[in-house]
Amino acid sequence: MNQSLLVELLDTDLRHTIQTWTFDSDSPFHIGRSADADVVIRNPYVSRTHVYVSSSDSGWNLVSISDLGVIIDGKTVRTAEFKDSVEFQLARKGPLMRVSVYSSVPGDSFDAKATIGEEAFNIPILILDERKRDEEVSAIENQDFFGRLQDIATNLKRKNDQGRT
Amino acid sequence: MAKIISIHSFRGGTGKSNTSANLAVLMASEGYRVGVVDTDIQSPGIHVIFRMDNEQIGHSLNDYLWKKCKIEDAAYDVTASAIGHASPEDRAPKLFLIPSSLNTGEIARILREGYDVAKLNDGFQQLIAGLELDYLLIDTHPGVNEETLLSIAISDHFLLVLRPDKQDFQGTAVTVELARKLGVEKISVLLNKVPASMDPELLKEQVRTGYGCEVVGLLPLCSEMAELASSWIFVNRFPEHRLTQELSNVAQHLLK
Repeated sequence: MNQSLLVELLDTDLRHTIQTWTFDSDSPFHIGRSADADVVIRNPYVSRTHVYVSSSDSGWNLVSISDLGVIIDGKTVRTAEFKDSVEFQLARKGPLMRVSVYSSVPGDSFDAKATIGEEAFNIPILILDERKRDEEVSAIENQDFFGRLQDIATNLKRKNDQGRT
Repeated sequence: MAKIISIHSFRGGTGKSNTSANLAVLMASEGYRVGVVDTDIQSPGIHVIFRMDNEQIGHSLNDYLWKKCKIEDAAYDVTASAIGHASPEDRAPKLFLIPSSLNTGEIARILREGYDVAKLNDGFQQLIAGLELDYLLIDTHPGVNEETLLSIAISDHFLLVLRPDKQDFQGTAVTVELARKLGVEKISVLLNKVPASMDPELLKEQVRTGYGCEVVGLLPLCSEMAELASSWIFVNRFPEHRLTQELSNVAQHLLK
């Protein structure tokens, strides 16, 4: 079984995925602000070359090349080992990131999106639940205030049109 | 004839106020007289983008709603700071900001008592006439309370700002339907904070299918905007940025 790495840039407050990158297990990569970084993060708190990720015998290594370090569980560290997944912040005020290990079936070229499905990445897809929408619309429409509002709006618009011409 | 454009989001955090401020600057720059009203009385914010602080705000929209002043008294000419190439003697461009009060007591009073929606509408009309506005932009409060719905209802153009996010998309769908039931004819969507990994054409198609309205802009998620963090007007700070270019397209659409 082949292993691949999924790198995610996370929204600091909402923690949803903003951007993703994937790498094969045999290709180490680096994260930084520099345009030639494998994972380019344009953020002033990120160093030009900030973090280097590579595989080791027992799992994966994350090394902060930057003196600013990375913050894991509230502590500033220079190196970390992980097996499945690691969440870290690039410097104290920098962006939040996650690196996770995924297995793929041998022979299959690894396409993270196709394999895991977009749901797993928490990438939002704009699909509407029309029934839910219609229920919520009716709930508002059937309140007294909405009918009153429609009347007020009609009158005001008429008045505005007269005033403006 | 002057046009009223209300700018709305179902949820907070979509970048609505920032977008409103930048669009107002771009629209005025094209040689128009533009007013921006912050009707997000519960959480006012647009004044920050124009770098107005508490001391600089004398009268606010709240004072007008409580009949303490005329609405023109709460209008501040921000042309000089927001639009560099303007001369004070020129008729246009002109940009006016009508802020909400930052006073927590005033905010609490609005929350407690609400306000007269007809008075707000009269205020809009007085602003248009008194300041000879070509466009009046209304920065609305998120969600669908009565006051917000009325601001939307009397608008010529309703611009929805949302993130490409399932919850935003579902919630905004309700607002779109309510706006239609209130007789708003022109409804457009602006997708904000779009990650580079998403397919713009697919997003546009999904909005068209879901809402039956057009996407007039797709603003990329960018660190420059985040770093600026509402402290200044993006389009002035980064005139060559692709976000500025996309915002200009939206402004052109609103000027049509």
